[in-house]
Amino acid sequence: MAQQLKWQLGTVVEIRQETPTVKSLILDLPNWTTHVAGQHVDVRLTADDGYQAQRSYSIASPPEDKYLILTVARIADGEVSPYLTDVLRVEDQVELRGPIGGYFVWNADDAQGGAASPLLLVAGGSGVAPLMAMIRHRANSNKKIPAKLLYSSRSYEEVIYREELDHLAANDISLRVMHTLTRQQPENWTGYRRRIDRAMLAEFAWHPSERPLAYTCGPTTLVETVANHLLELGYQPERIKTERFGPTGG
Amino acid sequence: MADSDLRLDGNAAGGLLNEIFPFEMTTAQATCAGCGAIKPIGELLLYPHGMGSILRCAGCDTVLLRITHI
Repeated sequence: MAQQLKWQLGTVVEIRQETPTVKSLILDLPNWTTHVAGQHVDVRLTADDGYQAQRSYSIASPPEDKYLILTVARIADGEVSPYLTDVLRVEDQVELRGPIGGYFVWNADDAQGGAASPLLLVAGGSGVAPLMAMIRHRANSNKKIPAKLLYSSRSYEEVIYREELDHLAANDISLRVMHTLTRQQPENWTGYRRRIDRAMLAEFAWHPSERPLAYTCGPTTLVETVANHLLELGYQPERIKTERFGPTGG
Repeated sequence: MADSDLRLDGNAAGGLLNEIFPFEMTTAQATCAGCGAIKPIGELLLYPHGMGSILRCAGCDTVLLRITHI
């Protein structure tokens, strides 16, 4: 990214209902330059009177895909997300700029810290989006880099990408996916049933001696809890990458 | 809503910083004038407000960058 990003128009080619309140927008961007898993875009809406509102959304698709996927959680009083989830239709256009960010990124071909560093991904709610780009990219790379995803959702119905994650984990022994459902669990639920805490991370995460690389994305409190516990467990600070999205995902 | 809820990572300011600097700024190292910590801008704490955005040191809360549209 050696130059200023330009706003560009993407056309919606498909809309996927991921959960009752979350949709994925599949966008065709003729002027897109390839991204790295973990990067985001800024989306800008302009009202008829010229008023503009802007929000950042993580890219959920891997760099190898033809189309860009943005996964948007509807925030009831948001300025941008209700438009993206309720109003936008296939063939509509969206204005965005990107890809943005070189910090919260992961490239399977990168030797950062040794290519084979095991990955620890910890997500809360729609914070799973940039981690999904990493998981999809990892699956495409065929390198079988050991990876674990710990994913916190309120209920089973609110787990984004549930079937795809089940499918990926079932067909790849080097990928482990563990869910925790914090509010409501189905009968016979065998996963965790509480907020992510130190004991859960100690049990599920890679041991620091395996030199893992950790990425955590979600609400601010979850991200800070996870980062602090990983530090206490012995993870190196520069190998814990955080992405807070606060409540204003908007 | 607590102040801590309004805190994002410097990473989220990447698009805004790109309006000013022609480089990928979230990986640029910033030295805090308060405590001397050297961290990538992506690791600073971003407080986005209607008036503008403020980037603070994650360790000591010193303001490192203020950005506003005029």
